[in-house]
Amino acid sequence: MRLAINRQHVRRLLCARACALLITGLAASLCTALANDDIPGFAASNSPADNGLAIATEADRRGDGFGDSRSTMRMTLFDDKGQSVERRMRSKTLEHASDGERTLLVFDSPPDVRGTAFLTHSHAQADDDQWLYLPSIKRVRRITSRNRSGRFMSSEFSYEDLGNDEIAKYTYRYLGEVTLDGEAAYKLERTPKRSSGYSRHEVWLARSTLNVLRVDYFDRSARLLKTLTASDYQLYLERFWRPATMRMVNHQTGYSTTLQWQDYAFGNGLAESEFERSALRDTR
Amino acid sequence: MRYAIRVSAAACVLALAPHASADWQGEIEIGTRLFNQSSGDSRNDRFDAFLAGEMSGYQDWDKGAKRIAWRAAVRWDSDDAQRNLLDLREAYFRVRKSGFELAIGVDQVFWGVTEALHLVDVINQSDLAANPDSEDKLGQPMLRLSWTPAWGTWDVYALPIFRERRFPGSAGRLRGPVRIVQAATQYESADADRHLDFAIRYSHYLGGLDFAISHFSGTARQPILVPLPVSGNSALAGSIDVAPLYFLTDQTGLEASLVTGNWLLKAEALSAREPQGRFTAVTAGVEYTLAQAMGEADLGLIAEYQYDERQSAIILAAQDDVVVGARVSLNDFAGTEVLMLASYDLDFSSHFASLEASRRFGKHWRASLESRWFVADDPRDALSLFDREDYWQLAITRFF
Repeated sequence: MRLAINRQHVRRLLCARACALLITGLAASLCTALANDDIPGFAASNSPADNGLAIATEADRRGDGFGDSRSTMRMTLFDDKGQSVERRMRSKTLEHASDGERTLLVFDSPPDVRGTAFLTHSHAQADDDQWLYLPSIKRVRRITSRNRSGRFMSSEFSYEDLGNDEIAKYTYRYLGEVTLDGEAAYKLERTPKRSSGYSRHEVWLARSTLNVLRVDYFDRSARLLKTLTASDYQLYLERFWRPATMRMVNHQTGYSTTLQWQDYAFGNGLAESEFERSALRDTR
Repeated sequence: MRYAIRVSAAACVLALAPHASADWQGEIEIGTRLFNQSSGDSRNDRFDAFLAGEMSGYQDWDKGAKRIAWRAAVRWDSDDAQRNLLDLREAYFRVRKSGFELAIGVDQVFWGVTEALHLVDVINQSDLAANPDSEDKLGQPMLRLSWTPAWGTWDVYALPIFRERRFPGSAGRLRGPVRIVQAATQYESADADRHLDFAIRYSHYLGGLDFAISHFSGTARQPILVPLPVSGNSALAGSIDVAPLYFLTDQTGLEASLVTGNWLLKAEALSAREPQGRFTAVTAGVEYTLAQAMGEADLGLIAEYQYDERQSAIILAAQDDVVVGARVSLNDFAGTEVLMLASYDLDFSSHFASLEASRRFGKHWRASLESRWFVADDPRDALSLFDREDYWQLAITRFF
């Protein structure tokens, strides 16, 4: 499940396969009927670990089958004095038939990095494969994906935050039903199983849609480091929710980053070959 | 009138193409180079200034299945006419269909994985007048056929026109006491610069391993420098005149990189034929990345070793060398980046150091600093030619 907010989101942001369109209508009606409490494996009598995993799994399942997507993004970085700079990016994402997602992210601005591209093949279990394309010398360079706590383009989002939150990469604990800004939500704790810049996350998911509303990230000393809020969710293909705005605030530095998505398009018929390493030289 | 017709025809093509997308961009750079010492040749100054620009654009049709792309570079130098340049870096038409790609025209292709030395990279000629680091490349006319099945990528190149390497001229620095007389260029092939060269490369990746094997058959991009009879002119200036000799070669290259944790292991190997026989060269190294190593800055540590069997070539400075370096990204809003490399020659005890740093200011500007230092006293070492050529380069680029 991609609970992580990002997981759903970013993965798309960066990623693609289109097989489920035929059942979209059916799925949409099912989703409505299933909303709320019909979460397989979720019961008051179950352990918090089982219930946490059940919610995460169901949220992930609901995000599956989108096939492919394209979008454009505006990323605004704010420092502690309120000064800001802006970056613009395009992304396309393909769900992979058997393992994770593929995402291609291309920079349009600032102009000195225009055409720079990140290709990510995310995997359910293994480390993600990631390449960087430098258009000035047409060079493709493999980058180490283990540096997950590194900052993405100087933003408050780390590569880890933007990665694909495969369910198997975390353990979960259900913390109960809460109200967040007037909206009924499930609260979960999520603990990374592998090397991470965080000791744990606290995640709020909307009870009605299982969309991620908020994530608190705790650093390795268990101090609150960052808070992510996702808002302005919109429904695509009558089935897939995407937030139009995500905001990450760093409580320790006062810096923050806002991501705004525009022009979401699904069912683009993207091919796997567009997400091969060799396709990077074609990036514009 | 004819112009107007052409413009409207182009407009029709644009209007009729249902999935067309197009874009153009450009940049202008102004800079200066300051040399720490005089070269000893009265024709050279201790500083120069340059103005450079680049424009590029492309047009896609049929959802990107067909593309025309172009990129042109221009440069003017205050001192050295050999640094003046107007070059088409790219100008090609490419069509893609069911896993195949055919491209015809001028393009740039980069092969390789290591940082300090690009051993197997052969398709494009280097512009050493622009920068001694071999990363400025001239456009190469080619026909390229690529095939990407699920198990890798095959690229086949036919290269009908050879481009001469560009060297600094008499009035330019970074040539040492050697003056390269391009008018006296010689070729092994009777076809001279029209020899039809071929190249083939297979590349793939498996998990964290990226690898490629390539073969090139044709005119070597790196010439042998043949001393010319002493002329009054050069003897007066204390320099040696040499002519580039481009011989025919067959070279096979291997590239591999492996990611494991924070480590990136890299290696390139080359076996190539030159007039004296076949030789082997290898470069291998590691890069270790530390995220947020110093505050918010990311640090990458680089170590590479270079071995080349050739001992006699005139321009060669990587026969038994160790390179260490660091790549720093400050992760600030200005995108400040620094790359430092230092090499040590185990045979000749010579050193070479290089610094490249840049940061953005405003939205459209970037300032860059580049410095290279040569410490080589042994005259048998090719690097000793550059012993007096330490320099600083400052430049500002405006992006459009």
